[in-house]
Amino acid sequence: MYPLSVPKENEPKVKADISEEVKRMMDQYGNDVLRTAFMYLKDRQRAEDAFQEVFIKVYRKYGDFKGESSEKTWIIKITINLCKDILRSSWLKRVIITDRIGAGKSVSDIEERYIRKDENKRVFSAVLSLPPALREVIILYYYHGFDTPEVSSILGTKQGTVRSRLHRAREILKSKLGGGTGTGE
Amino acid sequence: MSDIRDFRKIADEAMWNINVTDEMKNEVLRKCGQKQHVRMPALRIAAAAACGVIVAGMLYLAGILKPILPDHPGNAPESQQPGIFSAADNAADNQEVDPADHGMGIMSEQVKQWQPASLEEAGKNFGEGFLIPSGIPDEYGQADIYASGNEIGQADRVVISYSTEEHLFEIIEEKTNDTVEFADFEEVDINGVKGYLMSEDMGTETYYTQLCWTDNGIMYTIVGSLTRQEAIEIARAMNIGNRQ
Repeated sequence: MYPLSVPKENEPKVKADISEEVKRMMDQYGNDVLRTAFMYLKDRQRAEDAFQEVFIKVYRKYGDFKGESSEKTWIIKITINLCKDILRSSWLKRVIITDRIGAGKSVSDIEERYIRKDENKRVFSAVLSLPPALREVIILYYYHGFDTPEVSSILGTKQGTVRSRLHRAREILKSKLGGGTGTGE
Repeated sequence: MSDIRDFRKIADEAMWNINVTDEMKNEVLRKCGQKQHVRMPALRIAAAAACGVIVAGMLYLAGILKPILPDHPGNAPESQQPGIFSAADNAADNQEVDPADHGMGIMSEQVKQWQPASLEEAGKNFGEGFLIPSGIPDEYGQADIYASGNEIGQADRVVISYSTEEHLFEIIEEKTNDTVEFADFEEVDINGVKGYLMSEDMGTETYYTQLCWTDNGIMYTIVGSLTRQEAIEIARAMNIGNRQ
């Protein structure tokens, strides 16, 4: 469903070396993974579980990575695919109930626990309130700084679809935030 | 006014206290290491078993072992070998056991994922209870279909994704034994089954709707850019004459 399009490496490293590599990648990309998972799952504990699962997958699939995509792209792709699978597998049991758009418990919770600045709070809440397909392009494009072809590759969608979703997301954000968000693709 | 181009800074400020800790990193490394710890004893057992077979064979050929073994055919060295190899095989099987796949494993690697060529094929993969959607709004083109399960061709879950340039919704059919409770959801009737619906008007003619119901151990979900009424109509159409 979400294939990792990286070829196998010819000379796999020994386990100890892989552990060192995983440790390095956790140092380098750990917060990106954790916070991306949080923006998808809207739940800190589940984001932490996802963080662990992502890097266990990185450990297992390390030999599959050759570098045709950047290391960060590879790891974020694993993160997003895992988060989507989590949402699909237990969506109704745990997420939907607290995933109310706009005035949902999770957003309120985020507001209470994690947000300090009113202005930025509104933008962050608005992004997290977007429909999933629109939210993820904002996360990939504006949070991670991937360009349209990279977002297209990570999501397995056409570049035109990415652009239209970005446009649509910005339209909704403008509507919600009073037209004050800049654009700039 | 904040600028979406500053979203990285905005989001990081909002998530200022969500950070990876050393404890989290160590837990990952520990779980990665567990895989090795399981493998080592298995390899040792297999190696010891293989050495035992070789030594026993040499002793037998040398005529040393035979006197200390009963004459019962069932205990002959030849008949023991399968037993020894069986133990080794079991050890080898244990080699595949990965603690990370159990308990905390959210997405077990044993779960296979594939794309059925059609809804009919997805229905065959899923088996009884699979509902073929109908009444899909015209602007949504052909569905993307994803299936997953322990074996390819035996789906426990099918995700049917419909999209346009601007809208996306999915129909998820999943085998489950869980009973689901929905707080704050509107109850709607789906052909005699209680469904739970949440629909939000996002403005600018954009809606976001989630509708789900369970029937005979299968959970059905419709979620995405649909109006409340569209979701209900699709759900009700799925239950009319489309059972496999």
